[in-house]
Amino acid sequence: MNSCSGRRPRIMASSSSLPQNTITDILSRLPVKSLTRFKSVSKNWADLTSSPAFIAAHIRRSSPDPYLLIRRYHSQSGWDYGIWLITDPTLNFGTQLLRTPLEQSLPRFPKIVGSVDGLVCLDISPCYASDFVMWNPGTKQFKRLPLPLISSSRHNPIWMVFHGFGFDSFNIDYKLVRIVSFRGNDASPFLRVEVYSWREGVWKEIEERFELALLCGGQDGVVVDGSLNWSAIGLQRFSDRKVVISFDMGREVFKTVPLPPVTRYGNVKVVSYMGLLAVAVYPLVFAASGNNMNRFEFWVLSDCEDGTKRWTNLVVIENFSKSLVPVGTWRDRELVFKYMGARDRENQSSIFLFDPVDQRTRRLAIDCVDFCFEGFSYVESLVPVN
Amino acid sequence: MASTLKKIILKSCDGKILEVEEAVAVQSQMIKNMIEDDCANEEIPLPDITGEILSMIIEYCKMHVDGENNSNNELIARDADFITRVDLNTLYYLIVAANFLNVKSLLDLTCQRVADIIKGKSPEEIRLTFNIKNDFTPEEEEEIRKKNAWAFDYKD
Repeated sequence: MNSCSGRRPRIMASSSSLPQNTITDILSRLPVKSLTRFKSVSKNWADLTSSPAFIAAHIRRSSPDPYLLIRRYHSQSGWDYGIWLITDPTLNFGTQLLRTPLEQSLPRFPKIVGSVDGLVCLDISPCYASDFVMWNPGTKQFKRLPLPLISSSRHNPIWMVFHGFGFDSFNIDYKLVRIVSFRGNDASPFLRVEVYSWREGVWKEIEERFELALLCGGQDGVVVDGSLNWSAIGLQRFSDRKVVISFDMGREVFKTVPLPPVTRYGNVKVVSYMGLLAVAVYPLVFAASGNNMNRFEFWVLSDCEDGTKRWTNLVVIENFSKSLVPVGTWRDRELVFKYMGARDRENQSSIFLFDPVDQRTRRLAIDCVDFCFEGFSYVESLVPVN
Repeated sequence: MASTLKKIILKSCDGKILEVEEAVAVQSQMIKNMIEDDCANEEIPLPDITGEILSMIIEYCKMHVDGENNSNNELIARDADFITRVDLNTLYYLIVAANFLNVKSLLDLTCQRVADIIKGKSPEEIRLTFNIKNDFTPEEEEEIRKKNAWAFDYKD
C-alpha cells in the first residue's frame, strides 16, 4: 500500500470550500505544537485557534485520554528532581522531562498545586504558599501571579496554608484558592480565605469560611465536579469523625461533608472518581506481616434515587503485606497507587493503576526509587495563562 | 430470509444506481430520517456525491454493519485499513459526502485522518493543501513566527 503513496495527490483540490465546522473539527484533533505553528497560516486560522470556543472544543477532544504529569525527587534534600510528562502511562510511551518556568532562579523545586485543562499551577515560594506561577506546558507560556493579599506578620504569624486549583464552569474561570490559618491567641486557629481569578487576574479575599473542622496538613485541594475538596477532622457536632471540606468554585461557598465512620482509624486520600467525590482509606501504619491490620477501602459518594447522596463502599482489600499508598486517580476512573515493600529495602517500590470495577491492576513502567512521587492528569491545551 | 430485507435505492450525481440494504443505509442519519418519514420508497438522488465516492461510503457502512459483533480493536484495524487507502483529494470528497449523509463515525475517521496527515506540515504546505491565501503582511508573519519559534522545531 505504501508503494503508491508517492503518486498520491498532495493537495485537497477544492478544499477551500470545506465547511468551517469541518475545518474546526480537523484542527481540534491536532497537538498544541502543530496548532501553534499553524497560527501563521492565515489570519482566519490564527483567530479560529485563539477563540474560546475552539480552545474548549480542543480540550473536550483530548480530555478522555489525559497524559500523566509526574513530580518526583529522589532524595529528601530535594535534589535530582523533575516534572515529567508521560503520554501513555500504560505503555510508558513518550516520557519527557519538562523545563519548568523560572527554573534557574527558584529557591526550591516548585510544587504542583493542580493541573486543569492544560494549565498547571505551581507554588514557587519557599514557605507559606505565597508565590505562584500559572504555566501552560503545551504552549510553554507562563505567568507569575501577583502576590497573595493575606500574609504573615510578626504579630499574627501564619500557621498553615492550604490551596487548590480548579475550573469554575459556572463563570468559565480558573481559580486558585488559598486557605490561610493563623495561630490565634486561643487554641483554635483563625482562618482567612482568598481566591485568585484567572479571568480577573487578581486576588480577592472572601467572607465565606468553613467551620467545625480542622484541615490536615500536607494536602492540596482535589477537584471534583466544580468543587475543591480537602479532608479534615470534624469539630463539635462532627467531632470524632473525619469530614471533607468542599469549596464550590462557582458560588464560592464551603460545605462540610461527613465521611463514613471507617475513615476514623485510617489515613484518608480524597480523590475524584467518575465525577464523584471519593475517598481511599488506608492504614496509618502498615504492619509488616500480612495480618488483618492492613486494610484498604474505597468509598464513593453516589446519588440515591431520592435525590440524597450516600457513601457506598466499592472495594475492600485485606491482608496485604506491603504498603499501599493511593496517590490519586487517572482518567477519573483508575486509582494510582504507590506500592512498596514494608521492610526489605531491595524490594523497589512501584506505581500501578487499579480499576475499582474489575479490580484489575496494571503496573506502570516507571521506575520509582523516589522519595517523593505525585501524579496529576494532564491534557494539552491552548488555554492562555492570562 | 435475505429476500425479505428491505432495499434502499441511491442515485449518485453521475447517474449510478446503487441498491443498499436498509441496515447498511441507516448508518447515514440523513437516510434514516428519510426512512422514518416514509420518504425513502423511491430512489434517493444524491446531488453532490459521485458513484465512486458513494460506493466507498457503502463499503464503509457495510463493513460496520457486518463487523457489529467484532471486537473494538478489530474494527479500529479495519477502519485504519480503509482510510489509509484513501488519498487526500478523495478524502475531501469523502468528508463532504459524510457530512451530507451524516455518517458520524465516517466523519470522525476522515477528519482524524486529515489531522494525522497535516500534523507535521509547515504553514506553507498547509496553505497549499487547503488552498488558503496567506493574508499576513511579511512583517506580521515574521512577528507571529518569531513569537512561536519553538513550534517550528520539527524534530518530534
